[in-house]
Amino acid sequence: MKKFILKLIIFLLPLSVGLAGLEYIAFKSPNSYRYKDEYVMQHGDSIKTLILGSSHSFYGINPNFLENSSFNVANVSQDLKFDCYLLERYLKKCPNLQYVILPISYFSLSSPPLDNGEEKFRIKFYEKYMGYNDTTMNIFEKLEIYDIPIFQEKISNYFKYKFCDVKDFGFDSLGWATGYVFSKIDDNIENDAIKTIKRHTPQVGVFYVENILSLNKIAELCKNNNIKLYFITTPTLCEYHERLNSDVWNYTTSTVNEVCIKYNASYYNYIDDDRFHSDDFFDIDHLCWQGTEKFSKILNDDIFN
Amino acid sequence: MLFNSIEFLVFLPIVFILYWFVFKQLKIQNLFLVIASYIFYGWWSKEFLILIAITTLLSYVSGILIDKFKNNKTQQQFVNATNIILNLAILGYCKYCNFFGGSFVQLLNFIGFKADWVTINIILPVGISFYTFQALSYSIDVYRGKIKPTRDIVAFFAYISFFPQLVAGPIERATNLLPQMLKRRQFDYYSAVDGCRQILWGFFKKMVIADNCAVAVDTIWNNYQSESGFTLFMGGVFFAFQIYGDFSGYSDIAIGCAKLFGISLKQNFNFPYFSRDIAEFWRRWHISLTTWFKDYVYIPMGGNRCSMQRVLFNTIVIFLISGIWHGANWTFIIWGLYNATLFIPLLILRKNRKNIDVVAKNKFLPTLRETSQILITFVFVVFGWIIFRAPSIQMGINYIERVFSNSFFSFEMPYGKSVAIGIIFMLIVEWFNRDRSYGLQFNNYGILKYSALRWIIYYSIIIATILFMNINQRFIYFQF
Repeated sequence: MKKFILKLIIFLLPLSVGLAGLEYIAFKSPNSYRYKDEYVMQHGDSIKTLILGSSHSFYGINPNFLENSSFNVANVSQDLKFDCYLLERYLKKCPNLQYVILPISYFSLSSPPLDNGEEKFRIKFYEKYMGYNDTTMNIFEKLEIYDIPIFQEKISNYFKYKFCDVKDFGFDSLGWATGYVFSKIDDNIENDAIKTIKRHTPQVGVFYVENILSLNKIAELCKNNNIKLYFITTPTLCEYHERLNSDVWNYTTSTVNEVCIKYNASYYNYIDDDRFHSDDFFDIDHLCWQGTEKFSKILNDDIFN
Repeated sequence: MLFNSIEFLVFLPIVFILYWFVFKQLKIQNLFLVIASYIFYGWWSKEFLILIAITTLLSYVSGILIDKFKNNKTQQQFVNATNIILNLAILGYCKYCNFFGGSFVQLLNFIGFKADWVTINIILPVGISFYTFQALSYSIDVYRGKIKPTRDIVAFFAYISFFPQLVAGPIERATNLLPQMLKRRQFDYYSAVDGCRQILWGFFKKMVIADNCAVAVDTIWNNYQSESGFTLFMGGVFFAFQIYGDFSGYSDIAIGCAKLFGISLKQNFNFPYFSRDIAEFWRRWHISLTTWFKDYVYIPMGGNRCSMQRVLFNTIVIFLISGIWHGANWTFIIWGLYNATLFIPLLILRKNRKNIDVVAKNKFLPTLRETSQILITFVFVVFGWIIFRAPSIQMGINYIERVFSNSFFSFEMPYGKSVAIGIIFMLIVEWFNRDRSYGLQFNNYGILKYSALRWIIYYSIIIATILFMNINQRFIYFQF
């Protein structure tokens, strides 16, 4: 027995060291969360416009086309709770902040918070790279290796960054996501729309209090700090917005309008804007490069001019 | 609790250390095994622990009563039959209630009676088929006098709930496993090392082969109407390796874990895809289930010691039951009958026991004839798996029709190219150890006598598993 345990320890030792090394490499791997936090911490005083939100703004708003010095701190599946957390975190670091752009999507109020959903694993990125203090995940869930596909991708990115001089990891220097280059709209668009709407409508009639509270808190923070808050809804294809559950969408927009009145914010709704066509979209509800440029310019004109 | 989870990687060493270092006395050790096994099972669902406890108690009490009534055959039969009926009733309710109810409603609607059915929406307890059959084998063997009933209830609970094989087999026999629970286990270094090696191989088959094949299979099935015939055929091939990697991988992990605890479980897969005919395939695939059906259904029905018509009938019944055992879908039944159709000609020609020995015994490579036999058998098996995998009979028919379309000759394979490399690697390893009980069981011969080289192989497999595993797939056989 002693021989077995001794040999097992000797066998597992290099493996454990190797895995610990890979865990460290994955942690150090370039990613948007680390980059954005470090950027704001270092260059916060130059930021006048902060773009929050989920993938709709991560891919859909390019700060390069906004007049005021802008930075995009949106991330995939980022919900209102984390938008609020980031705003609070960055307010101190951005003394010259004048505008906040917060996208409102169809699912903003009706989707379960991140720590209750399928993408709970993203919380550990906020904890590791953005100073968030999480209490919902156990010690194993916080390991990089716990989410294997992401772990594998992070290891790959690290080695590309270190040894292949790759600098592009899906976002540019102002935080905009560069991955959706061309339109991928095809004949399957109806099916895609049905699947997407189904995913974005977990339970009709259920709205999460946490989301509404976060929405109000963001607006309150902006008002108290003399920051102009702009709610915006990014454009979508008609196959998407025609299928929205009207109760869900009406409740969301009316809630946002109430917040606007209460906190002197503004709301620009481009969900069914007919200036956008299928060429402008990567998929049913995300813009591609062409559409992002168009939308960012329109937004710039509407907000700043 | 899944084998391929961090929780299990923590659970196993803790149980191992406590088992050998703390709970050394037999009864305490067995009690600890029961607690650990119930924690293992309850990690998935605490509610269904009551079901496994009920099944265990029913069989335990039956064993005692059967022995008590040893001078009264009628009462013995009554107890045995009651135990069988009750256990199968629980199994039947959990597995087949919605199926039969729904099918009955369809039949009524078909003949003009409007009917409705409220789906009870029963959740299928994980592993229920496996532990139920294991419990039944005990009481039947006691009834037959093959084994003396035990009064050690803790050992009996340990026998039924032993966590490595609890949820997906191998289905153990009381004659093999129960005596091991009743006597003190000795730690054996070489068995433990062998166990670790088998666990490693099981994880490789499950996490690299099966889980990556699953991605290709799901993609192909989701778009089967627009894929070429060759792609669809390859979808069948990938599913063949998915189910093999999944199920035999689980069995290897189970058997390997058992070795760590000084317990020997029966081999469940014997390299079935090297079979030269369908009869040999069924002697090598899910051995614990096929032998269970043989010993407890086929032989009591007369087996092959009766007229040819009766033998054929018995054979069809066994394959039918085997299909039904897999689940509540007509496709499983058709799959069973399909295999019966392939098996029967061999039976009639008395060639079902022609290929008993390992293929190409003592040879490096098979002959051309053996190779063609293996490939032909494999193709037939693949079409069976297509039926097995199909969500409905109609889809299965459509899928197979499309395989035989002109588009077969496009030889397109847009999916699964990388996992194909893993499959080839696995087949090569298993080919060279086809006379052993699992693929990685090399006996330190030749250059493998150097431990450094063996460790390099182990590390390579571990790294390959970490780099290429696809963690989002569940074990297929959990649903049975």
